[in-house]
Amino acid sequence: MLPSCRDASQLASENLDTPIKGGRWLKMKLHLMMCKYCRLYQKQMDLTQKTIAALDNHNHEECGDSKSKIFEQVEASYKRSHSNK
Amino acid sequence: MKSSTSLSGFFSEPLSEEEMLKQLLAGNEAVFNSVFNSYYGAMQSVAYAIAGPIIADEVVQEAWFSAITALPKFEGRASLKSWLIRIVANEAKTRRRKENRSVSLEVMQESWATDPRFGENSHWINPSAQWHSDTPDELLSADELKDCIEKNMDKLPQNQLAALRLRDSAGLSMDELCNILDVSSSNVRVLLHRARDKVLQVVNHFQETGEC
Repeated sequence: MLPSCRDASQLASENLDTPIKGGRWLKMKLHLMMCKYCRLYQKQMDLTQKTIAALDNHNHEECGDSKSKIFEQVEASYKRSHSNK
Repeated sequence: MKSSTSLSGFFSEPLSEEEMLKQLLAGNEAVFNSVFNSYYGAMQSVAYAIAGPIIADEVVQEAWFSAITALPKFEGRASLKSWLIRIVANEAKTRRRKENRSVSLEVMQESWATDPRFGENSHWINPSAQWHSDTPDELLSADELKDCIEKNMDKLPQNQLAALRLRDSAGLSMDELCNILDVSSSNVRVLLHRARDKVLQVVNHFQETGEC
């Protein structure tokens, strides 16, 4: 039996993490061939994942100078841990 | 701070994990610098994903302090990266509990079965609209949409948000997510799908209406 649209929407996300194989892949492909809404959803799911990554990476860049401050503290701790020996 | 590339010029070949550990234990600052630079990004992403942006830096710093203290006991059964990720994840979970943001990382039950986009036969009755943008840059060029996504991501259940950021932002493997979140692989898949689907619906609503 082919997956429903609800199942296909979940498979669209799963396929981004672990490529679907074998019979499940074939059923998914057949469903996508017949369902333009699921084809659109799959495309949008892919774009959504990339957008989330781009959004958080952008936010990390804004906080970039904290890395140097943390390094100073951590490096000092590392040096102390060896000067005590 | 020296860059990580200085190390490759210092040694003729990349260090093996075993040699790197020896150098760290011997107090080699150049190696420590390289290790910090190599794993800082992943650790920051994990802290950000679990503890949130406000205390992420403190979590990373505390995790490094803990790692430096525990380094002599590190037995090398996991990779150095996995070990550091585990330390920062534990620190982040502890800090999160202390901050009294009490939503658990365990899987939460939701009324997923009543999604109004699907009919009784589980096929679309209210499918997505066509979007006007095809790339992340195009989508994020609209500040209102960017703010709207961020606002709605913050409303996600903590377990979903953590899974989303650990996977899609930090790029951790599914196995690493299972270990950090203490859930099965099937539960991780559910968390990721629900979180991504929520963001997709936010984008879709904005594309349809121009409003958050």
